[in-house]
Order: sequence, then structure tokens, then C-alpha cells
Amino acid sequence: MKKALPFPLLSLALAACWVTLTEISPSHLALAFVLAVAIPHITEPFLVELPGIRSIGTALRLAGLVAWDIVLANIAVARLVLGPVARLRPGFVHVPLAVTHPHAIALFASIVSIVPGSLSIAFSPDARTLLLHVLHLEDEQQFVAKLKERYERPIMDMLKC
Amino acid sequence: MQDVIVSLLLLVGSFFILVGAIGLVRLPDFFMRLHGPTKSTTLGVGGMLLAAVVHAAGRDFSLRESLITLFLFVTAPVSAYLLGQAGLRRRIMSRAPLPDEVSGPGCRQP
Repeated sequence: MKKALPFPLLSLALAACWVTLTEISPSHLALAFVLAVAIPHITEPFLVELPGIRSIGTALRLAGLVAWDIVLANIAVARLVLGPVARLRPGFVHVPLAVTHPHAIALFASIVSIVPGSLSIAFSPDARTLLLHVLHLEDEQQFVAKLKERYERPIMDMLKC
Repeated sequence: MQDVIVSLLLLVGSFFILVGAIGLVRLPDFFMRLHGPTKSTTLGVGGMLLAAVVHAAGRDFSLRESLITLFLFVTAPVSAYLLGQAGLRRRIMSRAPLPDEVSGPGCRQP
């Protein structure tokens, strides 16, 4: 027999999101309950169990680092976009991944995409390599090393995987 | 004081959204253009939503704005990834030489 709530945390988050986005009233609470039960069941084939968090401090530090990098990189990209465009040297870069858990890989790829200047474009079929497009590439090796050190290491440290 | 902070955040947000739009026009190829709207909007819309949070602070529950910011940050990489995939599979014109294989050695062609 299948569990009523296969992903209780997800159900809780869904209900909380729904109530926050609408209002607290009996009808919306009822709808939130329906969504919290139905969505995890419908999407179950795609869902992967979350890895446990080993260090909340590392997670918070990573969030702060990413927020700060978004500000810095936005300024850098604004300068590139408003400057002479012909001088830009875009490039595709392969990043060998050390993280293996699907959630950790998704987190790394999303952070790389959110921080301006680089976009995650594709994975190898074995999900061991991530293909990036970089707006202005100066030193490929240094760029990849910086990404791995700055984002992948804290992700590995904060998750139990 | 609150109004000054809100105005500053709105100005900063608008500036980066404008930069994103300018990037969309000025950058020469598909993959480079992808950077404009997906990137500058993070700080652009982020700044505007932060302004909304500050504006609502003390009077209203501002969790809603924070949630919108969160959803934006979670979904932006996904749409950029899908657009990038489409460009890659159609082997669209690109200033950066397209990789022969999708990603790394030992991978299939799309």
C-alpha cells in the first residue's frame, strides 16, 4: 500500500506556499490540503528523496556567498554588455562534476546559471559533466577551478551525499 | 527614510532590467543573448521585490514577496537551460565554437 504522504516535507512546503500566496480562510486551507496531498502523488515518478543537510551553517554561508556573487557578477556583466561587444570572447566550457546526488547536481547547475556570466546548457548522459556557456571567457581552467571551489565544495560539505 | 530605501532599490532594479534588455539587443548570437534576460533580471527583479518587501514592512506580511523572489530564482535556470538545449540541438549560429559532443568525452550526439 502506498503512503498517503510520500514526501511529507514537500507536502508541508506546498501547503505553506499556497496559504502564503493566497489568504488564510477555510476554503484556501482546504485547497492547500488537496494540493499538498495531490501534487506529491502526481509528480512522484520524478521525485528523488532529499539528501540530509549536514551543516546548516555551510548552507547559510553558501546562500550569502551566492547573493553577494549575484551582485558583483551583475555589475561585471552590465559592464561587458554596455562596453564594446565585439571584444567579448564567449565560449563553451566542460565542467567535470564531483557531486553525484541529483539534488546536489541541480543545485550546482542552478547556482552557476543564477550567477551572471555563465549558463548551464547541458549534461552528459551519465551526468558526470556539465556544459556551460560563458559570456566572456579569459582563462578556462581558472574559471572551472573557481566555480568548483566556490560552489561545489560547500554543496558537498553541506549535504550528506 | 523607508521611501528613500524603496526608491533606491527600485532604481537599481530598473537599471539592471534595462541592462538585460540592452544585452538582448546588442549581443551578437543566441547563446550570448540568453545571458541578458536570464541574468540581469535576477538582480533587477530581485531589487524590485526587495523594494516591495521594505515597502510592506511593518504594515503587511511580506513573506509573499520573498516567495516570489524564491520562485523566480528557482525557475530562471530551468528556462535558460531549456532554451540553451534547443539552441544546442538545432546547432544554431554561435560565436563560441559549438562543442561536437553535448558534453564531454564519451557522450552521444543530440
